[in-house]
Amino acid sequence: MRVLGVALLILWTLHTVVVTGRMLLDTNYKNLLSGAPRDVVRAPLSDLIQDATPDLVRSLPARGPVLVLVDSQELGGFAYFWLSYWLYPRQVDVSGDLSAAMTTRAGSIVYFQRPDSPDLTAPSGYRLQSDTTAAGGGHVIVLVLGSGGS
Amino acid sequence: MTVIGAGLALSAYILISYCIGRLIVALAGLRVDALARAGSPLIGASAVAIQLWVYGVVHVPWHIALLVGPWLVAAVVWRRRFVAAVEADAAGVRQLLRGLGDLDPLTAGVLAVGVATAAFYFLNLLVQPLVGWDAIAMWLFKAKVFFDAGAVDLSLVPVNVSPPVERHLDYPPLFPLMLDSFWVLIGHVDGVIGKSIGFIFLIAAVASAAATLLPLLGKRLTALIAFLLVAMPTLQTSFVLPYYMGYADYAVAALMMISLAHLYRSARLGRDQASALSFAFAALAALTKNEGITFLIVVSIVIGAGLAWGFFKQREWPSRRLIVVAAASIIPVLAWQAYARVHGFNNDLVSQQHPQWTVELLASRAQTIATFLWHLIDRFNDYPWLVLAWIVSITLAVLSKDRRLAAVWAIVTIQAAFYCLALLLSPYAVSFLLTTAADRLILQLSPSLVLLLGLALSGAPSAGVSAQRRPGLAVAQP
Repeated sequence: MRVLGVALLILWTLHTVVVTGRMLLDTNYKNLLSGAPRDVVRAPLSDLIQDATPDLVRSLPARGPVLVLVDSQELGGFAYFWLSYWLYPRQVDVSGDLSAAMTTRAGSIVYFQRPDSPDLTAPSGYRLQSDTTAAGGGHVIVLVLGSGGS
Repeated sequence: MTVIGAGLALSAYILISYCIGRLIVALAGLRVDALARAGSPLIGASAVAIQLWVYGVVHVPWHIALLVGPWLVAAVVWRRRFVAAVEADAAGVRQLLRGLGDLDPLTAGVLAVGVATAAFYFLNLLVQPLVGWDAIAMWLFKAKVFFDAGAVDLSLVPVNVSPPVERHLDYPPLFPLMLDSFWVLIGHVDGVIGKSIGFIFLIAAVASAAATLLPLLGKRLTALIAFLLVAMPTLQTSFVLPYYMGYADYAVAALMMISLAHLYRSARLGRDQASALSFAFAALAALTKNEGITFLIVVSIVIGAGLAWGFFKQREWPSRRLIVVAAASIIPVLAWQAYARVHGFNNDLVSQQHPQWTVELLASRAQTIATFLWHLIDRFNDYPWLVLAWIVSITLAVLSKDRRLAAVWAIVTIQAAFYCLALLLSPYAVSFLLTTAADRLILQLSPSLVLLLGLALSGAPSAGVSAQRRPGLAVAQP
């Protein structure tokens, strides 16, 4: 029985050498060393949101509530987790309803506007901080309360 | 941070964790062997993580000087013991490296591929983006909340958000606290390199398995086992696929395997250092993921049985030192469970609405689970090999009458049975659970199954060493 066990171990090792060896040989190490995978692998949400997030982390007020308006298809998906992680410690409220901007008391409003989405009218007391055109033609609009802008 | 900078930071984290773990082992007066050395990085990383937790309770800021300072002071005060420990370890490593020259070409080749694979993982962990669902939604988010508060405090996490989201706040805090200690060391939050701390678990797990099996199996078979523990496809998800990086499944897998390695080494079950360390690593598993709690309970029962045996048959109690080790290990686990219960962070099995359980529904779910697991088995993954390892192990355990091997096999099997039971009785749709969690549950058991196969081969009657003559087995005999 021990012979069978050793045979199992050897065959398993050979199987692993074949599977793992192929992976090691197929890898593009130049891309790895340059850190390029960061630009290739995408999180399970729209490019419009994830591409703009690093800039938002830097530009939004460091704390306080943020209302994020997204396409309703993003609701129930990964957008809330993504935004609440990257924007923490800001308290993130994600909505697919533009009218939420009229009733919010958040210090900042971020609108991920797809090319085919309606425009957002700035609510009273808010001013436009930035309007960035994204690669796909969408816009990332940031509104801040008058006293909380940068 | 550049790739080189991130690599240096991760290396420094592992080295610092090792030094602190080694210091703890030396100061605790524990007998140091290769297995104790192999687990030192995780002992150190866990100690520093729990140190941050304590700092939060007593309102000490999370600062690198305050985090590392006490350990530096301890290293200076007990410098003779610490230096002797490090020198002994360095001598052991030198001896190990010298032994590499004696390897046959096949073994050397397998080791070379294993080292190349580990190096690939190291690089891959550092440069892949942070995109994993659970990593962002739970583990790193929690770490960020703790880091910002300077304490284990989940009161700031909004719980009633719209649309509703599930963050599993009841999940234990050790993994996020390890991330926090890494971030304290580098001075800022960095999710991309934070997720790479999984590498410390890989090092400790492979070193622990090798330390356990080398005296029993010899270099060639130990090299094969070590290679499998690095390179097997089931484990690669944690180190190759960005969508699984930053998860705690490999962490709990490594901790459970190291606990079993110590358990197998126990000569006087429940009364010796190996039992205490087995319990300690099981407790760390319970502080990493909820799956570790059942593992801790089963390990406690096995160790408790040995303790009872020793007391009633030989009037022997464990030493005070071992009781202290066990108590220090269990206190954080109990503290977290109390914290979670007080704040209403309950497991899904308790908090979620369950369907109306009927025999038909349970039978249907059981059939779905069995069918799914059956279809998982294909020639491109390890699942057929894991099943064979499980069968060969129990067969060899029976043939060799090795009770410690049977105990290790039983613990792994009970843990697997618990997973099936949890899938069966979960309030969630079973198909959703299977597609999102089944592979990770198997991953959690995989290192233990590989270790089990190695132990089984060492205990087989034809291995040249009778099970009855091997040290430590006498206590297991009636």
